Amino acid sequence: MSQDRPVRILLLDDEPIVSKRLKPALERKGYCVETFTDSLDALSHFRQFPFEIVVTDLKMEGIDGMEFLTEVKKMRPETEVIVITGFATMETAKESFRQGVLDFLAKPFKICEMMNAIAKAVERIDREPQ
Amino acid sequence: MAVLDTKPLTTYLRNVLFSKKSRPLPFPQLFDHFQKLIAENNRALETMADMGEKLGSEFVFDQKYINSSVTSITESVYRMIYHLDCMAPKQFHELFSVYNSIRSELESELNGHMVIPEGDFIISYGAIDDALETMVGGKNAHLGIVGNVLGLTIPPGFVISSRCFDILLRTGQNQEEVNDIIGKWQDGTYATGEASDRLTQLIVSLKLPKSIRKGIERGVAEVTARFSNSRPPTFAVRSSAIGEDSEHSFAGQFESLLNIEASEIPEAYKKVLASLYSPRAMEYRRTKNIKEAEAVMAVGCQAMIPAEASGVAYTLDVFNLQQKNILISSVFGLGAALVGGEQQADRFRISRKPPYEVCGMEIVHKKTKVQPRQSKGGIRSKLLDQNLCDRPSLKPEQLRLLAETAMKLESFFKHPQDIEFAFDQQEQLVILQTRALNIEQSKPHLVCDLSSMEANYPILMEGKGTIVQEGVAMGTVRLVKSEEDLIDLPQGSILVAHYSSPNLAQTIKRVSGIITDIGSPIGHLSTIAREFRVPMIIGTGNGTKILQNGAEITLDANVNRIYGGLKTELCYYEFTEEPFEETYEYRLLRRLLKKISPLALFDPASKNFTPQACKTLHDLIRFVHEQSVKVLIRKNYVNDSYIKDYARKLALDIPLDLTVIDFAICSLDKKEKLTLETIASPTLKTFSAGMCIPGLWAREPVAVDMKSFMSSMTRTFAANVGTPHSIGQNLAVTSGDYLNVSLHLGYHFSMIDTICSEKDNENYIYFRFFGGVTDETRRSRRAQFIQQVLSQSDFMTTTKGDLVVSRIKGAPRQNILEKIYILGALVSFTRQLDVKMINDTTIGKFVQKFQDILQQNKTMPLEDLYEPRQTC
Repeated sequence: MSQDRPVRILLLDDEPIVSKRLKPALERKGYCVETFTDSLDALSHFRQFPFEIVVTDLKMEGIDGMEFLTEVKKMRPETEVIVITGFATMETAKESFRQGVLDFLAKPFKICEMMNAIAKAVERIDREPQ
Repeated sequence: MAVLDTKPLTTYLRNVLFSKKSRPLPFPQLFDHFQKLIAENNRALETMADMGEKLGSEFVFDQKYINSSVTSITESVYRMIYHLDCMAPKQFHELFSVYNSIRSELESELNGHMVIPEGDFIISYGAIDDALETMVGGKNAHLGIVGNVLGLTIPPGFVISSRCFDILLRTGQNQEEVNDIIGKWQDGTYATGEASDRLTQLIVSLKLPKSIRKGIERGVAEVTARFSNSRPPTFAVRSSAIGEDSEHSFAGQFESLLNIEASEIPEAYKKVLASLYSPRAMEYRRTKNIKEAEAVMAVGCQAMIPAEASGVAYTLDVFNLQQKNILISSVFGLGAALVGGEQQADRFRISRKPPYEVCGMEIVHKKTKVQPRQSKGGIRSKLLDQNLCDRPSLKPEQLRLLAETAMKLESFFKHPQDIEFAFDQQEQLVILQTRALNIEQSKPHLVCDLSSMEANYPILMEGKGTIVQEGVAMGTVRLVKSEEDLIDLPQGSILVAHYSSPNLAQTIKRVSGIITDIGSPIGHLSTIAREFRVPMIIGTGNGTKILQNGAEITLDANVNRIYGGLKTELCYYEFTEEPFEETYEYRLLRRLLKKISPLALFDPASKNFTPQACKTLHDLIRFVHEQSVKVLIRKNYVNDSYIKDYARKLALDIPLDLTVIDFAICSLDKKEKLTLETIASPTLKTFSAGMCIPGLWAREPVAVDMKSFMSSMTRTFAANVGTPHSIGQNLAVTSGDYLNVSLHLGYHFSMIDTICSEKDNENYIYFRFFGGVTDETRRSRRAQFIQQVLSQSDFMTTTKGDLVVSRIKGAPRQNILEKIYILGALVSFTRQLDVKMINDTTIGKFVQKFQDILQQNKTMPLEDLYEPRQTC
């Protein structure tokens, strides 16, 4: 990482288990992680404190993941978004890529797969001119 | 173009139309059901394997996954039963009710309702494992693991299971009364005190059914037998509530009665049971929104330990976190008053690292000690011998043993522990209870910015090999090159070895972590490491070269990284996280799998091979599959002239008793023997040619050594214990492009299901292999052999224990035929191979041998198979 301060990651999944398992693994890698189970909470938090990377589920109560990531990209296009979902269809995958999503993981996934996706995102952030 | 010979069909139809018996299904329909059944069978087994794999610590899954997997597998099993019912109407009708009861249990679990399994009233401590938690309660389950898995001393005893609670308070008139009182409490008619009084009154006046009383008597007798030379034991009767998080939330709310005479246990049991409805417990549930339906209790009855000294050990001194010590409080005699905070105790602070030095002690003036009353039961305080008042209640060697044991418990449960212990008159350490230490208050002191620590510890290895068991281990490297290196292995070492040899398993209770150069995640050592939750990484390639004997290292098997030095911050950081094994989702999946995966039905020849004996979905799958094959083979082959004309024995160069049914053939010359040359189905022909490659089918009898034989007799996953003959016939069913072969050879089962057509998209091969006569290690070596061979042949292969599932999809016809040829050869070659797989090096050797034989016999004239053939 070229930045001095750690990369900030927002995790959003309505099932707490997903964040519970990912957070410590990411923190060990030196990332700063905040977790949410409610998409509206996550969105209002993002408005105040932007994140470099967002990891979100697609199917959730409240506003769904697609809306959430669209809003995120509108507010801060350089934020890298990784989508995780249990109901991966080609259509949703295509749609999310159209919204500028960097990567797409189907649940259940391996922790190392998420680590690779995050590493890819960090690489892109590092390459972009500050 | 051949002319369709309709004679067999007419005969068949005549039989069907004019038969007085119930009408058998026309064969094409029967076969259609069979094919669909097989497809569901495969789907169900895949889902099951997938769910099992998720218990491995690398995966992140959520409840949606659990729900959809359970839905998928239950639906597949239902469809299997439906298709079997269509194939053999009304013959297996009981399957539906067995299925319904398993399914409703699964659904109750998914809906968060506690399902109290039907089981024993009384369970001995010696028989407890964590699977029995809903029967024995959290506290008892932990204690059972301490005794049975970790091999530490626990008091002899038994549990009056939650099943008794269920019978007493959840059935008949008592249930109505309990519900009535609780209803009136909930709607405000009764105050909490009144409701509690009424429920207590109801429970203490219960008459225990004979079956429960007899059970208790048996439990007592079993414990008493262990005290043959001394006075019969008295008992501590302790609550053990059931349910998520019961350990923390209900701590101290329920009754524990000490020094109870055997004859008084039934009364004591009722008193403890009634404490579930103490005003405090009821109010607690009300505030925490815990449903009354979830309030269930089991009760442990432990023989009283005549303790010389007792106390409590915290593996982490939460009052003084900077020091990072173990904190031990102890008194002479029983620990009851210490636990209750009524008695002053000695305090010792011990280092958390071997050799567990005493870092500090505060010895108080002890005036009394608590003892069991000689008569009437209960306990009393007695003046302590003057000479002992100012002496430490524990000796240095006792402190060291206690510290070492406490750290074992912490590393197993992956969380600091709060342990109740006693030293008996022989100075033997007995663990009375262990539970997670509440470190909620201390968390901020334990968490630090790990990334800033990174610079202090060099990374020795990273990302190499596979994580078998997650966790963090700190310790000294012990390089193991020979058996001798295992002698005097210091407690808490990190074992580093070239092979993950099963021999290393003997050290599992002493090591804190395992790293190997080569190994398989399904090998014996991996299985044991998971069972003991020892962090383990395998297949690092050169771990033994990089890691120096005697060096202090930290193994972070959560992210697959090995640091030089002891990175204690990481270990403490771990404590603040809930271990994967303690998460709700993990436990739910595990509980569900207990009703899904275990396979008890294995021998179709056994009297127990009945729908009623099916306890899990796997049993149902096995039963239905076996019966469907039987329906095809027996019923129609023997009685149905249409089929009779199509079922033939295949005569090959190898002594294989294989029945072939080929539906694609329009007419059959009965005189013509079915041989390799005359097989019409190209797929079956290719498969058979593969099986017949010279040098593959071992003709010499293989000596099964005594160890293998005994292990086959005692194995629980005994899908293969019977003789090959009792297990059923070998059958190949083919219809044009489709082929299904079920083989029971030399104690293992294999199944090949394939479509091999001109349409690439429709083509697939599904190959499943499991079983064997030898122990688990050798069978899993054979599984590894198969995996290696098939992976080299582009199969997608997964293994779990001795089960191998391989598939190829969407390949061109030529390609599929080549793979089928290899599968034929493989089935032949592996027939008795497990017996020969005496160590890990044999795997590679046999892979080479197999490839060599295949290489020499590459010239299978596959092009011959492209001749146009007659079809119906």
